[in-house]
Amino acid sequence: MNEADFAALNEHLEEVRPIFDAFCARHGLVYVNRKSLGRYPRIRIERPGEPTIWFDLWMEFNKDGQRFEQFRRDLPYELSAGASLVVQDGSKNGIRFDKCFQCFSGKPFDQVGAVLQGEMEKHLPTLEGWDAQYLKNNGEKVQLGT
Amino acid sequence: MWFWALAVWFGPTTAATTGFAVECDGNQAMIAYDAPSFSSFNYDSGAVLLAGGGSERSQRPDVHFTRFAKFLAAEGTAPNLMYHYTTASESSFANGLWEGSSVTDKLYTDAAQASQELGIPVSNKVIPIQNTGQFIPNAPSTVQRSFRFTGGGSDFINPQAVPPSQLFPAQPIGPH
Repeated sequence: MNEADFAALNEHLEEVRPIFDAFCARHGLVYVNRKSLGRYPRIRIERPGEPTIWFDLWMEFNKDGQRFEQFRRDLPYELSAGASLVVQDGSKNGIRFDKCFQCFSGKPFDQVGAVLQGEMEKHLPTLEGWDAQYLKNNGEKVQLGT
Repeated sequence: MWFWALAVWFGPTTAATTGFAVECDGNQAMIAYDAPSFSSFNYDSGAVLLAGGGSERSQRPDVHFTRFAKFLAAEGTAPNLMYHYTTASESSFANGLWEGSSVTDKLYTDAAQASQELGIPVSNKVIPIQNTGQFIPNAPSTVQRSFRFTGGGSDFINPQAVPPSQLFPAQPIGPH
């Protein structure tokens, strides 16, 4: 694939972007830097804080665990949600406590627009209920960087 | 740290860059050392570093490998390399690395671990890249968590395209 192929593979995401725009405006989330998400179709929004809460919509991989290269409207999408807390522990990048869950998976892109807003609205209160101590107690601990 | 990397790439008995030999047989380069030899990298006809244009095009794999070895020797114990993990064919890198590509500063030997920490499909090769300061930390500088991937790996990005002359031969990696 070349860069134009990746751009073409991402075009369909414009169909759901207004849903994210409205949700972000309503609840104070922002788009995550697209360059940190790779070239594969994906939208991630977050509300920075302690913890940072996020929603992540991405095109899933094929049955071999590799990327799809051409868009079809029946390709599967996953929406996940979670919260992250970075704690400085004296290491270069610190450690991160993460907790997340799937909102849906394997959903054909054609059906994503119909359920996206409802899923995010449904799960936002759960994320907002997780504070820093909850994540330290219940989150997965990841050493950041090398 | 780097002796570990050398051991991974060049074999457990060969830490010095002069301790191995390279043979070229058609499009395949074999790296031999004291232990049984193994195939370290394969080039198809549109090989990454051989199809880079100009003088690069005329060079054989052993030339590149020698250049890589010399580079490692010159760097002493801490070569300044970055790594791009991929499943793309090597010919995809004939013109170097696209602007805005993700690289990391860690040499993984387990593709599954790289996949988890970098949030990418399981790679089958890693491309070492000479770090000349062309990479900057991404924002954020570590890979974020998703449902599928733990993230946590260091994430750098190149604001400008990286020329093929700064890419070294791809090295195969696989899951442990």
